[in-house]
Amino acid sequence: MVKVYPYAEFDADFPDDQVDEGGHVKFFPGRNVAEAIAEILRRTGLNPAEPEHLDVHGWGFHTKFKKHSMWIQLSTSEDAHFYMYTWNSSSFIDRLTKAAKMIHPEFLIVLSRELNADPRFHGITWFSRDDRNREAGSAKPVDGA
Amino acid sequence: MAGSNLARREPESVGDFMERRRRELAHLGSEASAKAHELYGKAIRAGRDLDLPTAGEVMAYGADLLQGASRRTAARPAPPAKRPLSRPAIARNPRGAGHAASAPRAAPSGGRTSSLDRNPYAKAAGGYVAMVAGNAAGVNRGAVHMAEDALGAVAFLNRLADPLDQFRGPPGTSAGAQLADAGKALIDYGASVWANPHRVVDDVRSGANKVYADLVPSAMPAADTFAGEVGRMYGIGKNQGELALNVALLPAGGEALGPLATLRGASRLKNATRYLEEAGHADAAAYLAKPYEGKGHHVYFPREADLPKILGGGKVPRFIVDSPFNVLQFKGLTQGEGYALHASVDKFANSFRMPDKFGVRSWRAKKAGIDTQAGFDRIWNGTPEAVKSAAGSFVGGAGGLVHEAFDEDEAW
Repeated sequence: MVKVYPYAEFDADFPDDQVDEGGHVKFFPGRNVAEAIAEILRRTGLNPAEPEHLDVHGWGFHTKFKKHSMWIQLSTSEDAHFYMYTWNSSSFIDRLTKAAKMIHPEFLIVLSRELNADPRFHGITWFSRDDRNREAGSAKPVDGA
Repeated sequence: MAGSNLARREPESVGDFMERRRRELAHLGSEASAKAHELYGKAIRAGRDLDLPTAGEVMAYGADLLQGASRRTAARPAPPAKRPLSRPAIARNPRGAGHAASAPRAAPSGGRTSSLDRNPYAKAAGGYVAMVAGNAAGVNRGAVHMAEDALGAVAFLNRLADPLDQFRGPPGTSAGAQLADAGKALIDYGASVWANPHRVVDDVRSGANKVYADLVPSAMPAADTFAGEVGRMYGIGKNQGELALNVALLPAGGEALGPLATLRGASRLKNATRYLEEAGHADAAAYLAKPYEGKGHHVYFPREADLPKILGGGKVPRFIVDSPFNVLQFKGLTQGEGYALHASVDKFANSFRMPDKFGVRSWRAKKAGIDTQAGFDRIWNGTPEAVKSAAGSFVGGAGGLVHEAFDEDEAW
């Protein structure tokens, strides 16, 4: 039985890059962290897209992994503390096969390995989809693989 | 057709009129006046023809009513017959028989027509003004009906869930019994359609005829009298106004239905910024008390959603992603209430950053006591208002068709 923890919380050593304008937030923070993660994935041979602004949700980008589209979304509330959400954003039809269902866990294993190897990221804890309040974390994104 | 009394009379001066009115009032009393005006008002609102061209005759009519011997034919009720779709040839037969039921005719006997009644331009102008007035009244009526429908639906669902409902009223009147009756009626109708497939066509045509006549002034000939035409056009205007309200709410239902949708958690949303005030961040709380500014929550197709490969892959088009049917809007809410509602339906929205000028970095759902909802609450509160409105219109429209098929009532 494979248990997947696709969401993560961590601290990252990056300056706050929020941009305010006219008393409102124009660009929410996290672009630099998203760009750093995209660069990390690029070094593994993947080809991630440029991060895009998602308003209150922060920043996110796509990357292809084994012909499937993976989505990584970064948001933050307090200084240097980030939330990362990932999922297979390929269409429902393209995710029906058993082999397709395993692609996202495989991607998470790669992503976790690379983030753990980067000294700018600390205290990475992974959470399951069902854990809405993120109370029961895991050190690994996939258990039982 | 009787000639006009006004045409035969000498014009009455204001002084004469006032003197006659004083005498009449003294003779008949205020009671007759009140009764006559009450009925006259009812007749006008019902689009009926009351042939009382002078104030004195109003008084006389009231006196007759009080004495129980009406000497004048008053309002003629609209017969309930089905109305034709095509417009009768008014030019060929302006007073002919076979006119629409909803077009009030002249008083049947002894009736007199005024110069306004004989002037088609005056009637058209008066009818137009009445129709515009009816539009506004129709919007109001639509809002009332909408609220009644919503409250009625809630009450019915509550009764349906009440195991003691069947014991609270006469047999056959419980919500369950009504539901069963409705189901039986549907089955019976299906059986009759099976036996006579043309019935569906006939019923739909009949319903279309009625809707056409209720909404389109030219579907029916003008009334014979000015008052009748004003009444007819006022009714059509009201129907148009109510229809316009329903149609307008389809794409933009959020503003009207938003307060209802968030009613359940209203107090919780209102208190979403209290923790900031208690922590000494009144300026941040004041910022969140301003009207919501944001793009809302993408519900079914997130911005990053891909199309299936068999459809060419790539991202789902923006017009779909940003459609009101896909975005939960927070119109009418404050920024803080919008954040709270967003966090309650979106597991990826747990906190929202604040501008740097405040001493607090973000609004946090957990500190505000907001948890991501589950089950029906999340589905209901997380459904865009356009989807709710469309679903409501679909159910309402289907119900309306069923109603039209079963009900002979002329009311719309």
